[in-house]
Amino acid sequence: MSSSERRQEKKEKYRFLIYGGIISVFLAAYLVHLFSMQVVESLVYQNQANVVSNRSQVIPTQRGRIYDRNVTDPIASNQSSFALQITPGDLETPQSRDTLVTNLSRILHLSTSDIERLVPLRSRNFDPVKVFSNVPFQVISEIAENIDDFPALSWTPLPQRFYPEGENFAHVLGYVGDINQQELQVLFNQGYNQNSIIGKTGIEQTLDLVLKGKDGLAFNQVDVFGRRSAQPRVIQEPELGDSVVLTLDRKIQQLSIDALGGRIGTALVLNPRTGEILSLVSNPGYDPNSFYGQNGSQNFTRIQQATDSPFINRNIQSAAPPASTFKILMSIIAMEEKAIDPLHTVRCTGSIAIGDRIFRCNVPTGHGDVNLYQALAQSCNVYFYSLAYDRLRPEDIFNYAQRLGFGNLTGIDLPGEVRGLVPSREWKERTFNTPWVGGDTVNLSIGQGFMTVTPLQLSNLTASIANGGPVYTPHIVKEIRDPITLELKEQVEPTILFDSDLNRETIEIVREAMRKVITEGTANVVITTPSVTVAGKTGTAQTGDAEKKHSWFTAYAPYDTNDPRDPVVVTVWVDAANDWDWWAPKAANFILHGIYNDMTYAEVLQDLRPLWYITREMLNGEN
Amino acid sequence: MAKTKLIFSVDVILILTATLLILIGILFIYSSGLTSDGTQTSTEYIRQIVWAILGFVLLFLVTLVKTDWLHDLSVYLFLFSLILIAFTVRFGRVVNGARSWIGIGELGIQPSEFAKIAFVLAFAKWLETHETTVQTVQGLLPPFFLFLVPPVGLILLQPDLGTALVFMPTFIVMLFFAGAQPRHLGYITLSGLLVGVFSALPIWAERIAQIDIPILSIFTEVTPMILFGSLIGVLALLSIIGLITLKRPIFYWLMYFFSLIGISFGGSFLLRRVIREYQIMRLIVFLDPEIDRLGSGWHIIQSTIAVGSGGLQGKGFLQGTQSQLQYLPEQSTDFIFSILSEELGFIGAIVLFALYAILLYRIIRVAYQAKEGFSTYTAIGISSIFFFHFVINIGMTIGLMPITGIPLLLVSYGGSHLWASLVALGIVLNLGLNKYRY
Repeated sequence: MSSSERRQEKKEKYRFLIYGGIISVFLAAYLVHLFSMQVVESLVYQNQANVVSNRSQVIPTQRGRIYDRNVTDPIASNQSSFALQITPGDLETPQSRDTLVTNLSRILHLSTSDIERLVPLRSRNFDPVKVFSNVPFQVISEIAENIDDFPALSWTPLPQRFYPEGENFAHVLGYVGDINQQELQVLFNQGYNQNSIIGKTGIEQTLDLVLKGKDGLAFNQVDVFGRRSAQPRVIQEPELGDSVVLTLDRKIQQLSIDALGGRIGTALVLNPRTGEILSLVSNPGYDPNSFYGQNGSQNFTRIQQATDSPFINRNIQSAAPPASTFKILMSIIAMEEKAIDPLHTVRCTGSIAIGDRIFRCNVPTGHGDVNLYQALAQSCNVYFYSLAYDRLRPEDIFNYAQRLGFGNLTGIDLPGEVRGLVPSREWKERTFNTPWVGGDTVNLSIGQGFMTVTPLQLSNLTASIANGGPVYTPHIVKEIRDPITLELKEQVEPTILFDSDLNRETIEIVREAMRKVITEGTANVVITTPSVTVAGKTGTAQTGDAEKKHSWFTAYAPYDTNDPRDPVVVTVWVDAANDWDWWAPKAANFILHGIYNDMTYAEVLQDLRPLWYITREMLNGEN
Repeated sequence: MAKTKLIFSVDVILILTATLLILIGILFIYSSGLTSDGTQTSTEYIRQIVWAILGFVLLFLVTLVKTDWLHDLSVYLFLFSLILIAFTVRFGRVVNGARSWIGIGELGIQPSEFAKIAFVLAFAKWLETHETTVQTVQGLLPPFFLFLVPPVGLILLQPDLGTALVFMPTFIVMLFFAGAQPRHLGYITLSGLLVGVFSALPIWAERIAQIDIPILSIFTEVTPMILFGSLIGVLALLSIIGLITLKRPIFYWLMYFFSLIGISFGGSFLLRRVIREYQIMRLIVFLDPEIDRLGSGWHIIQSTIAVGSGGLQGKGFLQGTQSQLQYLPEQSTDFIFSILSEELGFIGAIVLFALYAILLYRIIRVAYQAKEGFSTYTAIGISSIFFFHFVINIGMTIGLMPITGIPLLLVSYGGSHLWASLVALGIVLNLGLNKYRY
């Protein structure tokens, strides 16, 4: 072997060593990196692997049902509605999507352009995309029969709130909706999340925590396309929401609705012995079911923007001058303060001059000499003008008004209650920058002017007379029961809101005077029911427009203290927006007759046969 | 010498190693086709078995042909493979974004896989007679334009960047063994790397690091670009003048350095004209895959999760969640190592590395023992093909290399590269049998 060959061989060996070295360095470096990934940091990657492949799925619960006091059929329940979803990965050809859009538009009665916007494009994604919710069962069954026309379409059941009585209980029950940001911020700690459905008003809102139940949770192992790969593992069973029983009586509610007959206003019936509200009607109403359908948001907006404000529960959320019904309170003050003997007469000539202003009575020719009983029965303004102006201080009126609950919350278990207003000297100076004058007192004495009350507050005044002093907190919720067994879980006990602490004598006198309103006073032609003895007071509030007057009536029955039947307080208010037909006492008459005879409105009409009813029936009959 | 004795002296270890790698491949191709509920959705593993059996027939045929045939036919094989690639570029079928597949109906091949082998044979034959010329700079130009540019150019037209890239290190390694100057090879290697770095740098700064480096304006804005280019040009020119007039070695290295920078700088503009920004982005996203989690970063993230979550012992064969739940894309081809490491863990990876190390050792051993240039260069070329496929593929699955989509030879699913690999090993066995020929 020559020296050059040896040199050549040495050089070649050296190249092999370099090449082998490079290969070894790479293999070693990779192994070191693998060691750090698979042994040192393995846990980090394992966590990531679990996060990607485990996806949780919410099992929706059922919201609690709501019953009326008879616990028969629920007045708020759930119906199965369906959400339509499309799996983009299952759209096999571009034509499948066109087929789907065309057929969906036909079955949902929507334009193809609307559907086109919602249907996802074809992709590799196997995560279903929710495109329509609140699809009724009929549509689903139609789709199921023709499933080949709807490629990639599937559906999931979605419990949806349903109010079988529609409008009838809307103001009491309220409605539910998706939680909003503000609500979530406040309620975050109480088990709500982004997807919660929450009661927006009414009992749905006040008892949301009881009704909502708790969603369950299941874990799925999902593959990269979102396809579920195994039976879901249920981590948490859903807890059903509890059932709620209300104090309302669906018969009385229906009766009151019919009696009000679509007029804007309210009708309220409560049991003064317990504060249980038996019916609570506010017109106009709305049908909460219409918020959940396909045009839900449009319907909601339309009702929200309606000029007659259907969302307002006028029983507790609107306050108006009590008009002549306030004379009940004036009589109480007169007796308590011993300002006048009930039999002392005041001469009514049809008007009275206070300072340089003339205040008129409702009868232009005057009532002649009237005592307290006659004044309340005939609703003589002049008697109360002079009582307030000559014998009482305005402070007496303010104080007693507050003592009997005016200007204060009643504490009813519904949201959004307003206080109304009891004026005072300070209030007037602050608001109008003028002092309280005699004319203000005179106006106040007949319930006109600044004072405003809600129908519920007025009912409490009547309840106080009926009870002889104490007033129970008005409430709607009676019991909370187990959702399946209907076993009693919690019961609402009557609580005393306030005790007006009136003299026995005062109560007796005011009761008698209120009875005279029915027997020989303003209401004697309309309160015709022979079934129960009624004591009450009418009211007609001026609005400035001679043709437009609020009509009030508040009453309790039975007047007869020996009557063993449960007493009720009925307060009806018909807004001035309606054509004037002095409807409040008439409606109350029908409601009272219906309650004590267990009749429907139609049966009441048959039974009582008011003059106008006979006329109309005869006309109809002859035609 | 009796033919039987010849056959008994065949390198059994090499055949065993290759067989083991192919078997491991088939097991994990089977695993990749399995869904979480245990159903096999793919027939890939059956096809791979068929291809492997046919591939071994090819291997033995190639082992037994006369070595002279390989030597003499190499140029024609190379030309034929180039024609096939050209034909593919025009008429081929698109597979994974590259027009690289040609065939009738279900039967077909990727000619570029076989072109690698033909390239090695033809280049080895050429090197045998040019061992002295390649030691000079001028001597490097003919092989560059004769052997490297045609296949790489054609394959880039498909365009299949990954396959094209494998030619370059093979070219360098073969030249290195043929006696080319390391500083020349270093120049080629460095300029190639720098072109890549310069092309990616502005996009890296803007999209990944999200920092504003003022100096990078030389790549993006016209005035700094011209200023910098001129500066480098003048400096390189001065170095040349200095070298000619003063003949000091320092000027040689200055010229080496400045021309390297200048050529790479110019080359990076050419490259950025050819490759779109999103393509560059896909290549460098491995530096921070979170930038594009659901896009180009997805493969890297899912693959590293699979590998890392495998741990020391793995989740067990067929038990990998990343693969069975199909989070891993292209699991049977490019990302087969991810399944292997997920299901067999670090221990499985060590076994695979060991098998590959043995395989490479046995191939290089043939090169070392060979008595003439053709055998040495061919075996070295083939070893480098296996090695660079290994480095790029595994590096990609563990987040150290850009995603270029080249297979792990012998293990990944795919007929063409399996056959090409077995033919290549057949050539090595053939050369091994003839080591005492001269």
